[in-house]
Amino acid sequence: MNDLQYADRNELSSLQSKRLCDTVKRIYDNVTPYRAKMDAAGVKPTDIRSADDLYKLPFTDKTDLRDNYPFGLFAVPMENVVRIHASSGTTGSPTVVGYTENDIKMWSECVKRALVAAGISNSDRVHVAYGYGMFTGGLGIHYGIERAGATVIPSSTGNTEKQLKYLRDFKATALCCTPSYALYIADYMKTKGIDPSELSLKAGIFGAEPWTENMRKQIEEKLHIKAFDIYGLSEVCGPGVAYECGERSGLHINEDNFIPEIVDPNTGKVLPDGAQGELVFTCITKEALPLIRYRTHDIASITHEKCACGRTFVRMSKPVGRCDDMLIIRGVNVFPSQVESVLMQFSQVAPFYQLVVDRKNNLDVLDIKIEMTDSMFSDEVGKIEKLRMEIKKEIESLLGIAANIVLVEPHSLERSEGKSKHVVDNRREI
Amino acid sequence: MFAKQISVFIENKTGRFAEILEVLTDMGVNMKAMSLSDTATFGVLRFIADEAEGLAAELKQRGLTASVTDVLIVKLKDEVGGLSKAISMLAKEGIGVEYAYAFLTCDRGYASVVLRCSDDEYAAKVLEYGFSGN
Repeated sequence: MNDLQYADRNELSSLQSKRLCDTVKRIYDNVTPYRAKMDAAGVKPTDIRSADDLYKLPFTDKTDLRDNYPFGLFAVPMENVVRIHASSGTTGSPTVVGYTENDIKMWSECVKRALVAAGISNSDRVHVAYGYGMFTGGLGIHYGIERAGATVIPSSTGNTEKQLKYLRDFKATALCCTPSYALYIADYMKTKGIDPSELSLKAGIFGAEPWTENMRKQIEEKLHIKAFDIYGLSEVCGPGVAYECGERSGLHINEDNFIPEIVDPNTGKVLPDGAQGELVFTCITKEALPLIRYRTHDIASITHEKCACGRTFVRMSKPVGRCDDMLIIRGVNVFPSQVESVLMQFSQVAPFYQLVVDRKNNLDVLDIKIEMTDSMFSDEVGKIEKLRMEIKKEIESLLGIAANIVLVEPHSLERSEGKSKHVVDNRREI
Repeated sequence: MFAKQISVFIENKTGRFAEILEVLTDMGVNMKAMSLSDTATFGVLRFIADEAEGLAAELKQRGLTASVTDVLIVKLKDEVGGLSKAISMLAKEGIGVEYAYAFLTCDRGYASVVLRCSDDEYAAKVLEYGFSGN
């Protein structure tokens, strides 16, 4: 079968149209909440004759997933679902996604394309330092590596000393982790007096958080590797929605599976090539959880201009920001409203808090400032400390990352319209 | 004897203690005894002054976090072993000391100690009896 990455655009469009029509019909028949959305918008499956009619369909977003938690948007019976993943929801509820056997194959193929584009083959050994578990990062990359026939080293996160031991002893030729962890490893090696030539790494494929060209240069200089970007979100599949080729001038989107659009985040109007707006994806091959026009809240642009690599898949720019208040801290999605939901569990605590994110030693550090209240205060310091530690435990459990809880004076956090300014992100582009 | 002590929350920020003292000066507060304690993450200022309840209310109005606690003030002979004797009496009766700070007044020959114990009522009785039983 011809490699679709290099397909003629007309053939690709026809394929997309067919797949879209099939998917819309299947969703209409099997996913009650989305059927209701289509009915409310007055759109029937027969109104969708090609990918050009995509704009007629209603958007989907995180709220839909949360409102139908956990499996309400699935289009297949649970007997056909072979995997569940989950990531941060905006409040207490996580975002749950599911996969059939074919979905896993398709996802792995998408990741394989990313690896191959970065020069990976079956003679490579790929060290994975993304977290394994509910997060799609670890297992997503893992299955892609196996499909590519390379050797996967499933190291997961933590214990950098051990990670380095594996990197040296197993002579990994490629590294997959967050870009800030790659820099962390590089600096760790420097402090231990380990020269990059002692490792066998040639390439790195980094994602799960935004990173600049400047960071790429640093990673490449410090680790003596070529660094590639990979993009994804679990609602669409996980990592592998888009990937850099050797040209590293934009990320090719796996359009045979996901149709991209750029829309105005305020009006929802579809924007032309080159314009910056919110990335929206429509899944046209997924079986378990095919989402139509899913709003990612990532801001980027796309271009249909020919790429020197020969691939005809449309390219997206690196995401330039978010149009919501989500933060990515150490590769983990964090919403200020999650912090609020924990604080609300403690009756003594008021919803005046602030997330302060800094970068120290190439790792993201999160401080959460909470205003002291009369009911929190006690002459017994031990009591205050106990409460602070309880809050810390609950927040860390919900967010999935460590946070320092800092008690501050009442009324000391910046207010606008009575609510405190929730996020201060001090991480500067490096 | 029992006294009212004011506790004030201090954020762990350089200059905060100075700011709070300025507020107290502005309010015309004359502290009789004072202690500043810290945890790793914040501090608590404790002090004894007249009209504690009113003071605490005004501090709150000025945006500080304050509370009033009942504490014991024990008068001891200003001599070696004076404090040790008192605390030992409490320990014998199983009374623990949460915190303590001492100060001198113009009462020559005596020192005062602010005590907060696991059971202040009982502690007061023990000390009263222990001293008068001398």
